[in-house]
Amino acid sequence: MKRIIRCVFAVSFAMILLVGCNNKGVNGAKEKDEYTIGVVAKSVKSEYWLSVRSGMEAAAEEVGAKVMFFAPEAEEDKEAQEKLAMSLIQHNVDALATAPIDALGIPDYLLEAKKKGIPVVTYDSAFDNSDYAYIGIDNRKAGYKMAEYIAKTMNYQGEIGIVSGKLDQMCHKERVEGIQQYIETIPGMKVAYIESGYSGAKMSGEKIVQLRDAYPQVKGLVVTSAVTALGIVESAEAGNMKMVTIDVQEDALYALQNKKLTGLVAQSGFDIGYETVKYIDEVRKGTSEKEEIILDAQFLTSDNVEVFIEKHTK
Amino acid sequence: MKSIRSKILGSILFITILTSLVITIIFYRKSADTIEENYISSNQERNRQLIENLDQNMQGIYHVLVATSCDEELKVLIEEFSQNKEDAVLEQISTILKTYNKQNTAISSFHLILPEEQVLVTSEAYPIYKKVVEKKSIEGMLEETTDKAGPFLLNNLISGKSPHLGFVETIVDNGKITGYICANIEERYLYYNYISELKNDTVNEVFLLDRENKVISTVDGGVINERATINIENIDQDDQNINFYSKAPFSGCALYISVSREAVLGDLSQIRIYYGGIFFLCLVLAIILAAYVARRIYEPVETLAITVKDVSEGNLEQRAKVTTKDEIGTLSVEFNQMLDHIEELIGQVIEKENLKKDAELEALQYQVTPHFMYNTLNSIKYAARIRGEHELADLIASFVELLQASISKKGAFLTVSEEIYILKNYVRLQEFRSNSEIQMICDIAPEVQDCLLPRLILQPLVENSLLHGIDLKENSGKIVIKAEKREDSLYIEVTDNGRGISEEKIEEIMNQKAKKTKGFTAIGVPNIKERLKLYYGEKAGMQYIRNPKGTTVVIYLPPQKESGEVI
Repeated sequence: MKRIIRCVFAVSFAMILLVGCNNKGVNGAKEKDEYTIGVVAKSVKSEYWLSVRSGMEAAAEEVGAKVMFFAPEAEEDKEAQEKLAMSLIQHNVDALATAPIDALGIPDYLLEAKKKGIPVVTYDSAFDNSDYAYIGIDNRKAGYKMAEYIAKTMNYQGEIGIVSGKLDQMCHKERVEGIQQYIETIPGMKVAYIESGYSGAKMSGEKIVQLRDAYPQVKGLVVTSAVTALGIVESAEAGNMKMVTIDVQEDALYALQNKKLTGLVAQSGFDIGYETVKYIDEVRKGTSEKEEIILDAQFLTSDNVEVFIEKHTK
Repeated sequence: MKSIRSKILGSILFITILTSLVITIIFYRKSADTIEENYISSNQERNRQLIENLDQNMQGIYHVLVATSCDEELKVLIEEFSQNKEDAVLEQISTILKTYNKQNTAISSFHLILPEEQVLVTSEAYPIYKKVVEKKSIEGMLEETTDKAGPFLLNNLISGKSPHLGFVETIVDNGKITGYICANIEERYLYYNYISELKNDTVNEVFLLDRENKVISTVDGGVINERATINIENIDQDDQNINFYSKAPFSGCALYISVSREAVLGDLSQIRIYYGGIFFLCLVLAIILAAYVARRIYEPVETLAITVKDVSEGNLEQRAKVTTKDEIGTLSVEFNQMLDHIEELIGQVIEKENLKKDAELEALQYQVTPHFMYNTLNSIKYAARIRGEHELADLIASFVELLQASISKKGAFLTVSEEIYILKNYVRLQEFRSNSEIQMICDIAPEVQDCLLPRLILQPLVENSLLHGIDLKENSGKIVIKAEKREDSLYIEVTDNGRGISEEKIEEIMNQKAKKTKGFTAIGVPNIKERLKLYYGEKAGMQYIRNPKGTTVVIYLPPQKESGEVI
């Protein structure tokens, strides 16, 4: 009997403890801390930059970070980009990812970030002569590939024109250098002109006519931004010129499918954004010591674009 | 002493009450916690959404402000105004500001401050600009905002109204700061978009706070720009209220809501009553069931207890009623069987005692006759001596000794020696009676001489030898009595050299029932058998052995002495 009473008391005691433990205060609480990655892009409007943002958001969700995505209206707006970057530094973000519009200068926000000890990485475009880590494709190689393909389609004969973004942006500068590097190796070919300042902006029909008249021998065009290339494709003045460009965006892929574009370097904005945030997280955790992450960029033609679209639609 | 019934009842009630009480408490606590947790998590999520929307809005405002501050046309007009100071230029600036103002509805107005000229241009319909803004005010604003993260609580440089939220950005032309542009957000805009919907009966306080915990907007018209007295660190240590605090990452704005715990969890009192009701219902049911179960369990125990009590008072005919097949049922069955067995044993004892009594009475009767004969014969013996009949007197003396020896000992037992002595006297008398010679040889082992025998147990055997075995006329009769201990028994053999006995006769004698007989010589074999059985049970017995000439009768019995010693 005593044993039963002891058992009953033991069970009661355990139950009372259980009740006690259960009575854990659930009061209002502050939200959990998550670190913030400040991101400055070159623009918010193009499909490419939207996919960069999507990639960043996807990775941020995986690593438990928050992305504060700032970008000026246009890819040429260097001042606004630097002001936005400075604002992010002033807001004490935990890391800054930037795709500098001006790769040549050393903007104030870099100095401020250094002062505050905020790590900075570059993506899409690097700074010229800087130690900041870079995540993106090898732009020189991309330029080289574009030139290689257009030369092939032109039977390694004739002249080509280059329409590029502003050359103070590293990505455009390097792509142009890559194109030139390849053409120099082909005796029967040369670059007739380099028209810069058109990243993300349409070239006017007037300008296209002007170039066509000035360089009638040019049968191929390498454009370092898909948005600009699509602008030229849409223009009635473009004629049947062979054209290769860069950046994965839906309308560019369809233009390639419809053979309005000859070739396309598939630079995936999503992958660049995703890898950038992943890299920042690794650096934060101290698990990465790399200084650059070079992503592969597939070269697409009308022959393999279907497969690419199918894969990416899935 | 508490009965088993009350113990069972008490135990069932104790366990039931304890279990239901604990379960009730656990469920109540769990329900209360779940209600509170759900309330908190849903509100926390709503507040987070609100503050994130606010932050997105702030980022949008800031983007428009940056775009405005980088507007090249604006920069040109500022430069132009610094040179010609014409009001028309200010109107043109205002038009540009109006264009940007339209890009975001959250921006109530833009204010462009030209510090050197102490001029303020607005995007509002009126006033379009204000000349001669106090330098001190401009400097004060710059001091508050330069190199700091916005938004800020800014003083209205035109109306002097209470502070409002706003961002400030520089306008830089050729590396030189030519102006400052403010994007202003009205407190009422924030109130109606983020605060007013939070107002309800359960809410005690709602604050929209800036980065430094100064009040931007509040539900009860609290003082703007005052630091809120909130202990952010211990926000969840409030027993009276449930507090929520969500902070936006970009703007640093925070939403603080304090809700009365009692008002929110008021529904719990109903749950408490509900659980209490269930508990008491369970309790009543438990009492009824416990009483019923206790009665059912106790009933057979009670019946058995009454039966045991009856039996202990001597009523051995009473039997327990078997109503169940459990342990109590088994106990009742076993108890009844035990009573049956006891009754049977008692019957046997009574029967044995009656038989013994009969035998003893019979023996006593045999004793009475020798007494009478002893007294009479003694008188005859003395009469014979007086008349000179000495032989006759000796014979009578032997006969008297036989009688004397047989009655001088009290009790039912004689030693082997005494029995032999009686037998010798008896044989002498038989010699005289039949006028013949009978040879009697006694071979008694010394260690068995003192062993006890039922009185006159051998006499009938010797009598049988003389009457049925030996031919007395031939004077060659011989009786050998041998006594010895073999193994654990005393063996006494009576052997004669008579005409022997047939198997049929032996069987007849052995199967004969004892019957009362009269006279000294009438104690037959069945009586010997019966007496041996009565005194010694299975340990004693007798046997007839046919010899080539004559008969041997063997009696065996436990070799017990008068002192109780067993040899």
